[in-house]
Amino acid sequence: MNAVTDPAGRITAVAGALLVAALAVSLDGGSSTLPLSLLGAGTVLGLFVLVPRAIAGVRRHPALLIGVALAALPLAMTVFFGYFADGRTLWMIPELVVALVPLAIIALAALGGLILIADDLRARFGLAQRGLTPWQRLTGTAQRPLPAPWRAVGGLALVGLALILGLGYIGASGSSDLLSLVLLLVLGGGAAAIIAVPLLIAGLARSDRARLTTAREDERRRVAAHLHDSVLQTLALVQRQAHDPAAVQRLARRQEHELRAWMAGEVELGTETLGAALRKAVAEVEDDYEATVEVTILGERVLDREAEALAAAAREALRNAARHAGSPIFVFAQASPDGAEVFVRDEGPGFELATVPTERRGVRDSIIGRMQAVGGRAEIDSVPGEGTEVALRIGVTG
Amino acid sequence: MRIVVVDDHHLFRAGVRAELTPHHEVVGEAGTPAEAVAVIAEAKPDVVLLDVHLPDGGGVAVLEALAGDGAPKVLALSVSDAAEDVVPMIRAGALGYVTKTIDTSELLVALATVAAGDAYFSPRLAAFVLQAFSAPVQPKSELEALTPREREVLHHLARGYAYKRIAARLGISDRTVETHVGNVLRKLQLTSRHEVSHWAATRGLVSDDEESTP
Repeated sequence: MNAVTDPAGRITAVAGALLVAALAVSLDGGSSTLPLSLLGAGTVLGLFVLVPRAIAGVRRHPALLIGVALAALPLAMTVFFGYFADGRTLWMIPELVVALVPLAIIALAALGGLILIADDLRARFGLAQRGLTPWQRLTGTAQRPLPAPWRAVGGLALVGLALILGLGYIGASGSSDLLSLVLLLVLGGGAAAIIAVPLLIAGLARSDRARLTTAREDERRRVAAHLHDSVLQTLALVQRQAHDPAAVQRLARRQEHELRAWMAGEVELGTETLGAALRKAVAEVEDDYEATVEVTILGERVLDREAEALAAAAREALRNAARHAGSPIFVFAQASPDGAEVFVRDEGPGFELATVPTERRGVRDSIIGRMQAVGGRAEIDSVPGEGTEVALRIGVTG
Repeated sequence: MRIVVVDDHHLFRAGVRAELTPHHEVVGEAGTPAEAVAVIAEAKPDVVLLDVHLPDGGGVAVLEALAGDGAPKVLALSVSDAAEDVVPMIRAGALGYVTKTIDTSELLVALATVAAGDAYFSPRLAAFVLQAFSAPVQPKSELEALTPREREVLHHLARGYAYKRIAARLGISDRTVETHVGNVLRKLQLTSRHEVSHWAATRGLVSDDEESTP
C-alpha cells in the first residue's frame, strides 16, 4: 500500500513533522513550551499508529519484544541517569535528543547486523525454507538481498560497527563504568536472544510436526483396529449366516448404529467405566456367537484411553474364544485407578501363536498392538488341547 | 443324597426340585429362615441349597441358627453377583457359592463337592474372596493372611481353571489344591466381623454406621 494514501502513513508523516519541528525549535533555544507541546502532539499521533502495530507485530512474532525493549532502553536509561542521578530536569530537550540519537543509531546497527547473522544461521540450518526471513520482512523484498556468506559477513560488520560506536559513545560521554557495563551486557544479551529465539521457535515447530506425524500414524492404526473389530467382524458373521436373513439384517442394523455412533465421535464403546465396557463386550459376544461367558469384575475404573484399549482388546479376545473354542468362556477382571487386568480364558483346542498367519490381524493388531499402543501388556497362553488364556494388563496390578 | 432347597421364590424351588429329582432326593423346601430351620431339623438333609436373599435376615440367619455340631453342609445360591451378599454367607459357614444361572451338571458337581465336606469355589466366589483378603486392614495374625500360594490358587479359580488344571500349572497335586482352598475357607471364617465389615465399608458396600456396630 502506498505510504501517502495509507491513513496510518499520513499520521506517521504528520507525527514525524511535529517531532522534527519540536527538535528544531528546541535546538534554537528559547521557551520550552512550544517544543514540548509539539513533541507531545507528535508523540500522541505516533502512538496512535505505533502502539496497535507494535501489539499486532509482537503477537505474531514474540521475538520483536526484544527489539522494542532494546529501543526503549536508551530512553529509559537517559531518563533515569539524567533525571534521578544528576538531578537534571527532563525539560532539557536538546540534551535528551543528543543522548538518544547516537544510542538509537547504535541499536539499529546492532539489530540489523544481528538479524543478518540470524538469517544466515537459519538458512544454514535449513530452518527458513518457508516464509520470509526477517531481513525480507524488514526490507519488503521477496529476493534475498545478498548471497549467504555475505549476509553473515555484513551482519558481523554491522555488529562490529555498533560495538565501536557504542564504545566510542561511552568514551565520549564520559559515563560511569557501570553504565558502559550495563550497555555491553544488554547488547550481548539482545544479540544472543535475537539469534537464539528464531532457532528455538523453528526447532519447536519441527518437533510439533514430528509429533503430528506420530499422532496421525496412531490414529490410522486406531481406525484400522476399529474397522477390523466392527465392520470386518460383522461382514464375516454375515457370510457365515447368509442362510438366515433375519440374523443378517439384525447384524447389519447393529453395525450401522455402531458405525454411525463411532463416526459421530462418541466414545468407542459408548460406556463410561471399564466394567460397563467389558459387560457390553461380553453381551455382544454372547449375542453374536450364542456363547456362554462367566464374568467376574472386581473394582472399577473410569474408561480412559488405556481402559478403552483394554476393553477393546478383551472384546477381541472374547470373539476369538467364541469363534475358535466356544463355551464356556471365563472373564475375570480386576480394576483400580492405578491399573487393571483382564483374563479371557476358554477351554478350546488352543493354538500356537507362532503358527498364526500374519494376514490374520486379530491377535497381532487388535490385541497385542492395541495394548502396546497405550503402554499395556498382552500375554497369550495357549496349550494345544487344553485351551487359551489371554491376559491383558494396564498400569500397576496386584 | 438328601437335599433341602431354601428359597423364597416358589417357582424357583419347583424348578430346582425338577432339576435335581432324577439324581438326588429333595426332602424338603422352605421359603423363610424360620421355616428352613424347622424343615432342616426334621428332614436332616446332607446338603442345604440356601438362597442368599430371604426375608427376615437372609441366608445368614439360617446359617447362624444351624451353627453347631451335626449341622448339614450348605451350598449358597444367589442371583446376586455382589460380594457383600456372598462373603458373609461363606463366613457364616456355607461351603460354597453358585449363581442361579449355573447349569445342572455344574450344580450337581457343586452339591457333591460340598456334601463331601470340601469347599466349592466358583470363579466368582474365588474372585470375591480374593478381594476380601486384599482389604487394606492388617490381619490379626499371620494365620489369617493368605499365603502367596493360596492367593495364586484363588486367582486361578477366579479365571475359571479347574482344580486339575491348577495343579498341573502350579506343579502340585490335586489334593494340595483342595487343601489350599480349604485353608482359604477356614481363614475367611476366622477373620473377625470387624475386618470384613471394614473391608466392605472401604468399598462403599455398606455404610460406615454398620461398620461401627459391634
